[in-house]
Amino acid sequence: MYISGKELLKQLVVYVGATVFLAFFGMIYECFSHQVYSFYMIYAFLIPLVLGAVPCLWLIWKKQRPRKVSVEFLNCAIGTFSLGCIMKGVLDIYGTTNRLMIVYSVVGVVLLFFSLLLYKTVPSKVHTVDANQ
Amino acid sequence: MKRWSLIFGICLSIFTVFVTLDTFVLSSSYAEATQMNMAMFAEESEETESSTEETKSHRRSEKETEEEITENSETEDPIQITMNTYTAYGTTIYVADITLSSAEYLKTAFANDTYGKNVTAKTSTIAEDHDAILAINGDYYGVQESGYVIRNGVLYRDKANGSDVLCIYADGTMEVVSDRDYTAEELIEKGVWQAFSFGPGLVEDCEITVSESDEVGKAMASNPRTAIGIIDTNHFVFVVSDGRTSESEGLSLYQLATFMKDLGVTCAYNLDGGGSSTMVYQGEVINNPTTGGNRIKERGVSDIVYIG
Repeated sequence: MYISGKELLKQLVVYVGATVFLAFFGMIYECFSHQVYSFYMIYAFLIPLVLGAVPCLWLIWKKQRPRKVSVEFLNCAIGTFSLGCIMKGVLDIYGTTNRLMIVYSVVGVVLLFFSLLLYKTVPSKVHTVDANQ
Repeated sequence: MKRWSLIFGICLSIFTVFVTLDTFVLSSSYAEATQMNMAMFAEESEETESSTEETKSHRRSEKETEEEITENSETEDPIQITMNTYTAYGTTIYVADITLSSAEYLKTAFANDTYGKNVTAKTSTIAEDHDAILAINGDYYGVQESGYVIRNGVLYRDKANGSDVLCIYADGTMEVVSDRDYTAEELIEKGVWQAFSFGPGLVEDCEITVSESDEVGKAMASNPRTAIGIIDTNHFVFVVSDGRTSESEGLSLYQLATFMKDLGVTCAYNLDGGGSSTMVYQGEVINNPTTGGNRIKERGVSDIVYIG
């Protein structure tokens, strides 16, 4: 029900990895875009950083472990927002729009809402039994 | 729970692929676009004839010894085009100076004569299909989901997007307006023959209206450009610049505006640039269209502006 300390560290590595990947992706894409800039493309890396890595670091520092279901919803929200940001950047640079882009925002907000709704932590020292074991 | 996350990830990926295809690949045809609202010029012609008759009558009554008023237009060529090539800002710029007897000869055409999304063809192909003497690429309306589209006096899209709209009137004049000030239907009623939504306006009332930090789509760089300007009633200029190559750097919007002003235009407007910028004269592509700068090749566009 609650992720382990080891899993929390693994999550942190994933968030940092995603942050670095999006930062490089944005940088490289901008190199080939004939100097057409999109803030969505440039700042997409902030999503896994602010929504993922920073809260994760905070929880590790506070020695807390969150519920698995909350983390899974958060991961889905981060994925949705990140992908939406990249797509928006691509469209911006091309100079076009698409009415379907709103789906990323709506789905991301809903997932984030459920993540917060189901958020609960226990101190790291508390031993929890996983229902699946 | 991880299984649901995986399923969600797959669905998200499929949705993203669909959005990509919908934006760049899947074509939709909204209407066939072969009609022209020539009634605009019938009205103009009546007004001009009655105005000319009044003028003749006024002059004859004033001075009986005055020389005979010569008839014009009927024996003159309705289309006069002068082509020039300039080099400015490290860029080759092609200028077509066009004098028309009537704005009806300044026409537009859609790719495959179809108003739709992701319906494209090369400027030279569309020009050939319409026997154009001279053609340039238009505003690439097809990549946008909003912005007024009025072509040959027919309204195709009336959804505003807050952009500058170039209006070419049936009376041979031209101005840039904001779509916040007029609906598309109001523009038709005002006698707009062609309306484009790309922008920005470059020159208005003989003054440059872009700053050095202005750019389209946050592009600060020099690029190939396409622009249209007006010097006097029925006296237009089409301007296309090369760019993104070692021979031609390209122009910023401000440089383009400065160049247009130096040509003597009273009003000028920026059309789609980059890889779309193409000028075709008598069946030949006369500029060097390129998307990436490594290959000279025309790009498919939604629409063209042509003389014919």
